[in-house]
Amino acid sequence: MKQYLLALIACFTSHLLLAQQYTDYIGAGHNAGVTVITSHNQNNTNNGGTTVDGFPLDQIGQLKDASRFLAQATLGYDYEMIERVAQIGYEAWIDEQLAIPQLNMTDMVEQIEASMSGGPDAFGGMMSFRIAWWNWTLKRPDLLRQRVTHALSQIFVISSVGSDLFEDHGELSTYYFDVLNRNAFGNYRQLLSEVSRNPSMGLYLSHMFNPKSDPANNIHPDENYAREVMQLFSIGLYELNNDGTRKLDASGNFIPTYNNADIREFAKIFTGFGNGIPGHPWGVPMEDGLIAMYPMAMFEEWHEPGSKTLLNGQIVPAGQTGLQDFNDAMDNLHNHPNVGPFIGKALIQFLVSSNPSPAYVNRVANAFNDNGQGVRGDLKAVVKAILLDEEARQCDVANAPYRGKLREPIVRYSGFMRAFNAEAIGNSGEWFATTMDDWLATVGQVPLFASSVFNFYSPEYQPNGPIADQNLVAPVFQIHNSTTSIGFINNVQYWTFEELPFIDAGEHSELPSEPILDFDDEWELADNPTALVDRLDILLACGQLSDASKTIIVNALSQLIEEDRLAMALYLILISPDYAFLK
Amino acid sequence: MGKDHKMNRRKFLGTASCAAIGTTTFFSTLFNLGMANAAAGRTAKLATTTGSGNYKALVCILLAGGNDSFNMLVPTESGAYAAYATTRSNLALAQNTLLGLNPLVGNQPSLGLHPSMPEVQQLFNSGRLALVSNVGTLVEPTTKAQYESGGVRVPLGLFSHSDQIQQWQTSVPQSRSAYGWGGRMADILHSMNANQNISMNISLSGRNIFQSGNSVAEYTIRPEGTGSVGIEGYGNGNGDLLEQVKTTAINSLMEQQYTDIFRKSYADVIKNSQSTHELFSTAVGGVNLSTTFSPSYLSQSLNMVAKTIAARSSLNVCRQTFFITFGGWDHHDEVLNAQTQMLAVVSRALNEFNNAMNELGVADDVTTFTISDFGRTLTSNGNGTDHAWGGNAMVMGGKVNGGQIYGTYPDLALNSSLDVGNGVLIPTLSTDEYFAELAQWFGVSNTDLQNIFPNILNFYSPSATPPIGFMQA
Repeated sequence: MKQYLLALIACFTSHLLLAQQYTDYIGAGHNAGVTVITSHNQNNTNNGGTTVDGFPLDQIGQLKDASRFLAQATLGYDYEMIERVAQIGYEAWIDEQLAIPQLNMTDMVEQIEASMSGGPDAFGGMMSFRIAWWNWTLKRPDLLRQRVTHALSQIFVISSVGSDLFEDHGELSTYYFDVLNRNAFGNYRQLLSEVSRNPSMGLYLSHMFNPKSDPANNIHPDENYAREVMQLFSIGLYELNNDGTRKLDASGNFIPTYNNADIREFAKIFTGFGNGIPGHPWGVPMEDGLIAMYPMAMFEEWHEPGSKTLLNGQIVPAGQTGLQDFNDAMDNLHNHPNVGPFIGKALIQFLVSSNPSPAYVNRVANAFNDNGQGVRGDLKAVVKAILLDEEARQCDVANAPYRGKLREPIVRYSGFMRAFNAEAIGNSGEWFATTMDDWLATVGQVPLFASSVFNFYSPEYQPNGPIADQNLVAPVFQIHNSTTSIGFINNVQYWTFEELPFIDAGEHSELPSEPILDFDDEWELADNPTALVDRLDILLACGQLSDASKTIIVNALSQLIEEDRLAMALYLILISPDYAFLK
Repeated sequence: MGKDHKMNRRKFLGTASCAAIGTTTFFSTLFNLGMANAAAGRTAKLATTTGSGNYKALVCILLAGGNDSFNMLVPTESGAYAAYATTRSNLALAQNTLLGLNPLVGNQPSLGLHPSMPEVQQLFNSGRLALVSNVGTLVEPTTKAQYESGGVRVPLGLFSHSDQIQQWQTSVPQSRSAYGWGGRMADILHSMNANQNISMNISLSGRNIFQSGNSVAEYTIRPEGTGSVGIEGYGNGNGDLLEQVKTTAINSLMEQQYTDIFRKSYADVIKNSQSTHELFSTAVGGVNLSTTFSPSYLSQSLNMVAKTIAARSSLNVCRQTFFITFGGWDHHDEVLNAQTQMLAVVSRALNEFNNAMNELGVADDVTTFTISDFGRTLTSNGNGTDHAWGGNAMVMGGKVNGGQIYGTYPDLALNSSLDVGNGVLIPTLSTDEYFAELAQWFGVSNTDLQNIFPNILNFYSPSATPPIGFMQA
């Protein structure tokens, strides 16, 4: 009861502080001169006169807010980045990020390979992608692009699971990942088109070498890509209002966006794509990674002739080239009114909140539909709309029940490493890549390694108990089970108590290229458990550790000698529910 | 441990006839027993069974992605085979490669198995395994004319993986439910287990809808080791201060009363997992099983199921369900090569599991069954097949009336009375009939059957005669 009262008072206080700015949040479009508003409310009452790292008390809330913003917008960040965001504001930071030149992961690979401990051939296949992913994730400055690309990789899913070809040829993953990487701030229409013509996707969803009908032999075009591009990559199963809610017909039923006949028409569109390597014939996939470099080529003799009927009755006339058919179909999907709410809501769920309000989805869909300059599908505008929305930023909304999301396990991993500036010795990332098999087995989420095109979890997953009872969703809980929940804790155990290199850079050589983490600032606080926990609360938990949780952790630290305190503080915060579920 | 939970638990102790309640060393709270307690009254006749006597287990194997089961079970009579070969075109299996089935009763269709399933052939011919034909998701019996005219309620999201895989686990195809029929059974029957500190529903494949109930959630284990996973360095530390401090702090963090339901759910999973692990690893650690299992994921998972069943007395339970997902069946491509490998894995694994059940002397107490998203189009897309509807399934166990094919094996000619295009067949048995029979065997009363399968009356009037007949009474 006492805690409840405190929370009420705090939020009330926040309301008062914010009253005059309520509609003037950053990103509202009329924010000139506004820097940052303190929307944080949880711990304003309990810091007494303390300061963290020399920051005046009135700025601690700003640091917590900035940390929360970065936890939504990146795969990891350090304390300096928090301070920078607190100084320049969210929109300025986003603009700064959007201006960072994009770098292809594939362009990093040669450089990485040259520096690998066992030479360029030491880690082939899937490992080469994982090494590239960790280098790209830990070293690149384009934090926002990383987060958006990671989200896109869970919407436009390919996976190496169960495929020897993908396991053996990391290029299939790396080149595909770059399609998402390049288009993360581009236009959805271009992204959809590049994904659809990508050979890795063509192999994964089997529309590469998909031949036209052969009625004499009862052979019809492969329906796989036709179905999944609609269900998962563009419009979803049901007609949506712009706010993401489902339209109802006169009888109160949901309205399917397509039926099996539509699938069969789109299946015809996706016939005739083959290996894009110049001069390569139809029908023989090259059993090496070279195939990954070229968009699939259209082989007209294998493309279904005749007209096709797309969604909303649009007719693709007979006599067009295969690529004209394809482009018409891409336009047809791109212009479907479902795309804004469908893709917009998916991105909100990956960045900010599992259960966004319809109003929030509506605002983001509006940004998709028109970026303000008449352009549809501008992902920069969508990302800005998501992160600067009042529901993502403001105290009262952010702390409303049902907002927020369980942090993805892989983002907890990368986030911890970036928080302390993990550097892979020799520029290789080999150590991280070697942890991925065990991470997959114990925690269940490794980039481009979902068990199916339906990703690691469903956006509609409802764990039983209060979440399902209130008809809410909690996607990431689908991989939070008896095995993986404990598996994650044991990985944290490894990072903190058992893997000394993270604590002390001195004595370790048994693993290749072990990372070194920079804990200098934290060690200085080892003699002051409260200050140490306060700092880590901001850095890792975005200021969301409750007073009670802090007390538990501080009490634990106080019983230990100073050398043991940092590991214990990191361990307890990283496994705590306050950290795991980001409000 | 919350006040409410304490009250529920005490009340439960007062009403159930369980001999002993397991205790845990650390976390004292387990999953919410409120529902199980409420249901105890309804199924009072069942609750008189305690401990591990009268043990029964259901093992559900999900072939995720949609098994092309009309190449698993193929007609061998010449006319029917000719229709099959014409329809399936370049994907038809050669007639002389099919493994013959010798039904144990008369009037059975002449069918053969995929050539990579010799063990299943043997299990069928010896009466240990039955085949269920053209079963699928239905809201109500459906004819082609009704389907084409829209004059019947059909499942939501037909042919979509996510919907169909969910409906095969809920058996409620007209809506999207987070709860499966295994979970709904557990809500009612969980009170039968003397040990209420371990979930009746055990998963080898993580969270799943089948085993998710209103009050009961699955407990996830792995095929390796003793199955369960515990927090490393958790305990009294034998005097190690660091470990003691850590353990106390973990307990305090997880046992806080979280008002945010997501944070509460996060903590509850960890609490329940750790406390169950302490029971589970001890029980399974004491098991010796000599049956050998292949290295495949499915075989190893069934090996762990067998070990768990072997530990039923130490776990002190009399009802369990198990769930295993074997994925990778979405064969739009390379269906012939892939099925040759994957059906062989299934066939070997089923045989190994049957051997283990024989070794443990529980073959009559354990029934294993397969489910899959859907059957696949009878017609080819070049070298694969697409999403369809009805398909064929397998049921194995000592109480199975094996050596028979249940349901009506369909005509595979195109444009048949069941074909709604490209060889997509309307099911002639519903998942309700298939599952209700398993549920009846498991101990669900005919009254509760309607709570678990809300559409059951569209297909079956609960009585002493089971819906299909593949289980012995």
